[in-house]
Amino acid sequence: MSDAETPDRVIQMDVRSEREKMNDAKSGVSRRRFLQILGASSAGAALAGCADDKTQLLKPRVKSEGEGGQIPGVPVWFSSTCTECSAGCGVAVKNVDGRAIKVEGASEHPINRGGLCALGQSSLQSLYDPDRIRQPLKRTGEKGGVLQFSPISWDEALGSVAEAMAKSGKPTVFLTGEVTGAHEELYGEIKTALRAEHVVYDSMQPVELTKASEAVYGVREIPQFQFGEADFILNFGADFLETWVSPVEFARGWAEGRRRSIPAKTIHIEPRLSLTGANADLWLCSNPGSEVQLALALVKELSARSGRRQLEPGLRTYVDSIIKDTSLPEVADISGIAADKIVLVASQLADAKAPLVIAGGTAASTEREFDLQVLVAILNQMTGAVGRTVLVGRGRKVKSSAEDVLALVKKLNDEAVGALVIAGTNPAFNLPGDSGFSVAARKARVVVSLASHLDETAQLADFILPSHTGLESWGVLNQQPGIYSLQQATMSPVFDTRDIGDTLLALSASLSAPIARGGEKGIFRDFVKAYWKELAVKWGKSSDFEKFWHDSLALGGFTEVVTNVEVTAPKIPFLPISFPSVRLGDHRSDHGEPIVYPFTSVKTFDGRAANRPWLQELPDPMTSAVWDAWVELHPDTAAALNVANGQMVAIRNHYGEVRASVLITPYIAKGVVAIPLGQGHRAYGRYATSVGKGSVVDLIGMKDRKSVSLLSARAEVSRIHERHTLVTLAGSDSQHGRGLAKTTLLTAAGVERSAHGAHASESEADSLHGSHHEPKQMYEQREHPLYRWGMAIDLAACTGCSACVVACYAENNIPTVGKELCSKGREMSWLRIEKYIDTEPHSEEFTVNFLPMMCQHCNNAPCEPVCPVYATYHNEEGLNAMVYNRCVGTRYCSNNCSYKVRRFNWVTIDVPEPLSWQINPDVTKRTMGVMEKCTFCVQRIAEAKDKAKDEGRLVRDGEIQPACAQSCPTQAIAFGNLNDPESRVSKLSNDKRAYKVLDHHINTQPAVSYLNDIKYRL
Amino acid sequence: MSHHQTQHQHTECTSCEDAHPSRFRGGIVPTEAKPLTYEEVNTTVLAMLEPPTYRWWLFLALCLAAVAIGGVSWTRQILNGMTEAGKSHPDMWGGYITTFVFWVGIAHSGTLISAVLYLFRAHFRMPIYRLAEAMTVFAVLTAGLFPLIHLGRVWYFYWLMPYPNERAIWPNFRSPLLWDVFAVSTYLTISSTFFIIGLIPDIAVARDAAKTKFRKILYGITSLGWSGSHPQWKHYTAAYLFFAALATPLVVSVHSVVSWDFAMSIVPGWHATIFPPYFVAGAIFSGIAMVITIMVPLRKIFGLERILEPKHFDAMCKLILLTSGILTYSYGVEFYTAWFSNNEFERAQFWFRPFGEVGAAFWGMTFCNCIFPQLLWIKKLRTNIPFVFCVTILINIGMWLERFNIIVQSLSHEYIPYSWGWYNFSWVDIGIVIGSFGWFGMWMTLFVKFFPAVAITEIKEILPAPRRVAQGGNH
Repeated sequence: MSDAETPDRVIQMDVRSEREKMNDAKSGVSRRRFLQILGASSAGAALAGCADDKTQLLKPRVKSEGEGGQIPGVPVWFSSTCTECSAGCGVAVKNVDGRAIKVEGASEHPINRGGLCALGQSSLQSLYDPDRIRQPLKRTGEKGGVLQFSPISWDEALGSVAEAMAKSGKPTVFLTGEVTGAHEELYGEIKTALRAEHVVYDSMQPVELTKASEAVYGVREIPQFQFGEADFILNFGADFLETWVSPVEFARGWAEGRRRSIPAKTIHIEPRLSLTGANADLWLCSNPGSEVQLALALVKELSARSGRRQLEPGLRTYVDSIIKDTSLPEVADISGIAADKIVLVASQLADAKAPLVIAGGTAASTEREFDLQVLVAILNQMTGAVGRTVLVGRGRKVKSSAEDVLALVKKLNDEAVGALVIAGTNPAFNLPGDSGFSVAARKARVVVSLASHLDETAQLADFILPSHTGLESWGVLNQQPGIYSLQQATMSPVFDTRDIGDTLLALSASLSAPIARGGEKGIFRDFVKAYWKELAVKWGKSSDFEKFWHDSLALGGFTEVVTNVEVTAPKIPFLPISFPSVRLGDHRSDHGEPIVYPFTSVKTFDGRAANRPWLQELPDPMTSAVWDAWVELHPDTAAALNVANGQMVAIRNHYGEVRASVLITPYIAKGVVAIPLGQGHRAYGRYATSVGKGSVVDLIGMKDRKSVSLLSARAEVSRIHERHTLVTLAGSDSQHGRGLAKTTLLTAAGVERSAHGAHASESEADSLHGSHHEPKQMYEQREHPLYRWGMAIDLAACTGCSACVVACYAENNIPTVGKELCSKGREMSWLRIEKYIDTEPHSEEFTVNFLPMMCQHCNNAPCEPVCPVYATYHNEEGLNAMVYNRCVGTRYCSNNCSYKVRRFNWVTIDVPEPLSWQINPDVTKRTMGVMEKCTFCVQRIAEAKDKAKDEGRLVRDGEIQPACAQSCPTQAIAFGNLNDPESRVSKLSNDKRAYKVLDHHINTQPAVSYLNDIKYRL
Repeated sequence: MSHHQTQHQHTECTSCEDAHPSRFRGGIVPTEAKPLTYEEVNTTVLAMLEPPTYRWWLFLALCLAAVAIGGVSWTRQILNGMTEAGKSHPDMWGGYITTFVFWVGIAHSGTLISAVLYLFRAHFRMPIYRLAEAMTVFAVLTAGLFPLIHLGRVWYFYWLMPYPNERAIWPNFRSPLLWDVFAVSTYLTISSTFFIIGLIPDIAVARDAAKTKFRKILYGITSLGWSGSHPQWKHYTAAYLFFAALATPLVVSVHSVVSWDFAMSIVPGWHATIFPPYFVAGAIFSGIAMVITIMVPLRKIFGLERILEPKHFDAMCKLILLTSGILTYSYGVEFYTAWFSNNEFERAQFWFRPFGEVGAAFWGMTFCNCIFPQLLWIKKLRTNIPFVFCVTILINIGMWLERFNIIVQSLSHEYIPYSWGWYNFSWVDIGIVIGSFGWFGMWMTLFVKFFPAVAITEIKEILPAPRRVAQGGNH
């Protein structure tokens, strides 16, 4: 955003004291109130009382037996649906005494089947965000460049808004994020009732992909990609393991492919090594914007092979027409990828039985994304992927459209909009500044925000009617045909906020257009139930609807069987496509300014979760950077720009400026400046605004385009004299030949290749061939009579997505310490993902390894004998136990821990209320001066053992899932009893790929086994 | 043989079998000057106890200021947590343990000089040993603070003691840190006992010469009724021999145990069998250097030139040469074992020390401890007291760096490359190190003003006995 359009620095003014505010906040959900309601509730249903009189029944996930239903201190699980991104994963939320304290993936949900990503895990910190809007606000003007909002009552707020809407005489426009199911129905009805307009904008939606699907397959949707079915995936930049479309679902499918006896191959083409790229077997660095030419070259290569036979005559003619001017050497020159590599990709694609080609992410987000997506669709057609790995007709629908937003901006500028009601989207941050949104929005008669947080867009509002976050809200999501997920409030509201649906129903009613499905009281939950009833009729479940409703709530939704649409005749001849050999950016850095490459990641997404400390402190999986934005540069580019690693630079162009530290990496195209998207907020909250200096979106111009192309801007990079502040947690990102994370290398044919690298140690070679030499032990070995808890981590399935890390923070009350303490090496994470990237000698081939590292619970734990006070010891179940109360803090255990997994409480961390409400009551909060570390979630072990004891049996395999294992989208982590030879963890630990880190050298006998990663060398 | 009842029965020594005057005269009495008389010894040493000058007050004030800095730093750390110190995730120990080992090392030479050299009848120790012993006691007092300072929860320090309690919880006797507690406290007990016993006859001298009431009371109590009678001397010498014999093994054991804090772990760079002898040699080396560092200014300030002669420095420098040689050999062995073991982690550690981010610490240590002291092979330099002073200052620095290299460099570069890190001093670290020097200096300063810092009676043992015809009295 250019300076002229940047609103002055704005903050929320609240006249009341902090204490008053906190009292208000507490009154929303006091434990006492909760227990009062609880006491009055009937069996089988827990209550979550609202602050107002709208007491609503919530259906617990588990069936409680006998009288009473809930016991204080005993958790109740609620099924719901995650609304952090549009994927719509099913979640189970743990509620203890009225507070949601943990979000987990629901194992029976068809989308995510158990896992949940870092963003979903962190939704709790959105719920308990101390910077949330706590009551309705009215804009009262500006004083000294500071926006003033003052609190008003709900009645006053709703009355004023309704009055303003009625008086404006101009149409109302609803601008929202992606909505499906019940919310879509609601907006549909309101649209009709108020003769309003509904515009959708979600910056993460692959709009061009849906358009291309319509063009080629005839259905406007994101086709359903069956990653699990594919034996070869060619990916043009789509970060499907991180943020793209439905990352948990895709990661799970991808891992299924990797687990087959002949694992699926992946080739990833993009200008900057992403986490998804790092997981590919072959990563090719393309010049930005050259993917179109590459795809075209592949179409040409394939049409010379068998692939062409698959084409309809019409399509064949079309293909012939577009490839005739393409030459391989020219494409090689433009893309920077050698011709033989392109041929290699083509031959892999042609030889694959079930290939899958996708494109997306920043790499694809150029002005020519539509062309690229069409070519990708043609490649899928040519290789027979459609119908096998690309299912058409049951994909996700996308309503988001930058085009519509731009039309809205025009309308706003023409002063043709009465009320602008914005909910669940932040265009003021996510749209480039020259879209003119922020300025235009103020031209509506009245701007109403239904946001939960005072972000850049909410600050444009005249009235803020604050909404619940997803965990307090109701809804039905219809992610894709056949899948209906119920979104259920999982606790009563934290603040004086309302369900978006309730607010909309109330607004509609005050404008004398009540919506029937909301009932007389206009409660959105009733709307949801009414909608569900209609669906039940469709599904033939209406005979005992109340039971079906309760069962559905307990389960989290309903899935109906949907069949594919057969794609027969593609509707091709529409494109006057010619593919001139234009380059988006010249790869030679002496030609022009560098190209700006904004990228999303599991840590930042598009900036929607920037105010969550867990995500800010989560080390970026690729760079281990925390609490910051940074600038990635190729060494040659850095040399040409005369900047050094760690140097602060300003990236400037006509549109804006970003300042950040340089991080030099060879895994990026020359002439590219890659900057993470989503940092540099001007508003939103204390954490978000403290991170990053300028948002990379501000560097992108819309010009006169109809869509947002992330990869389209150039900028000047110059050194500035500011103190280097980037904090990265990794000490070294090379294994130095130590064989910590091991990889089995396969040839293209799937045959095991010899161990990689000259540094490969003997032990590595041993474990590759599955020969374990049990060392002779000099001392009596420990015995574990009943249980020996252990873990097995399949590195071939681990993507490095870091969901486990956030899950561990949430489950174990691990404090976030902030940037300054991180810079001193004082982060507290019990579980970290170590990324290692090692180049093979005399070769450009490199291997990226992700090694989740937590306490190894060694049999011969080096930490145990050195503790002078027995604060850490080995228990009879094989756990390396830690007695916090006994610890005096000599820290010797950490020194002697070869895995460096112990953490010391350097300081008492103050967690602001209500973030502290998330604390898990089952886990001790540690005091200053004591050591701590991974416990294998001993509280869950204890819970399962108690239950087993009550039932007079041993703990069953799979009954205990530590938080990390539970959250893993690919189920890479198995936990269980090593004494039971039939347990999953035993079987995996005895797999021929299994090894233990460092055990060979120091005989620590860890309880954690790792299974070699598997990578093809193509 | 002078058996007449003087105030000081120091001449008892001449009745000892080994007190063959000619043997010592050749070794100790300067040939160029007239030998010291008993009286000169008395007056020279007792002059140190004269009312202090402003310089003494100034120095004491400096020390107290340093103690105050240390106190404020420690208080901050107790209130705000270990975050105030510069430690990080891999470097859980840093400046504190480095300084702890430094002070324990300093504490070594005292016992060595007083007890071991006593047993070996090396009489060049006579004028030196009292200072060395004082230094030992005060250095242990200083060192003993550091394990407390570095505790995360210092208020529970007593959990390290094996005391009977209703919960029947005992400390972990397998932990080297517990051995440390015993080793250091034993050493403190024995060395202070030995020190106090040695002081008794000299305090009696001071008592008899005391002019102020305060001093009369102080020395009256602390001299424990010493009258210098024959039976007292008889028991005294027996006790002294006994404590010397008791203290001698401690010279070896304390620093061996301290070295086990490291050697018993599996940290690359720590886990080495050579550590105990290597640490003991290093301790003696640093201790002697520190004795000289303290002696040189005292000699100047209190005019002890005739008591602390260049010959004594010469003898001490030879010890420095010996221990420097042992130390250099140990450094070499560390590298050799790392290479010979073919253990990639050890090898990486010993590559990291000279060529890593802070190779300067390694090269500084090598220069100060191994290279520069070699100049002492030149006899002229050994008796050149300013030069010797410089050498010892460098050795003090070098030995601190040695412990820094062992502790911080090893921890920074362990098994898991992701967890490599670094340690940075914070102001609190530095404040506490400064405070420790102030604390040590404070005790030393008070000591030289209140108690005889040179052993009056023992020096007399090696002087020619006063003759009846001597002019000007026979003290």
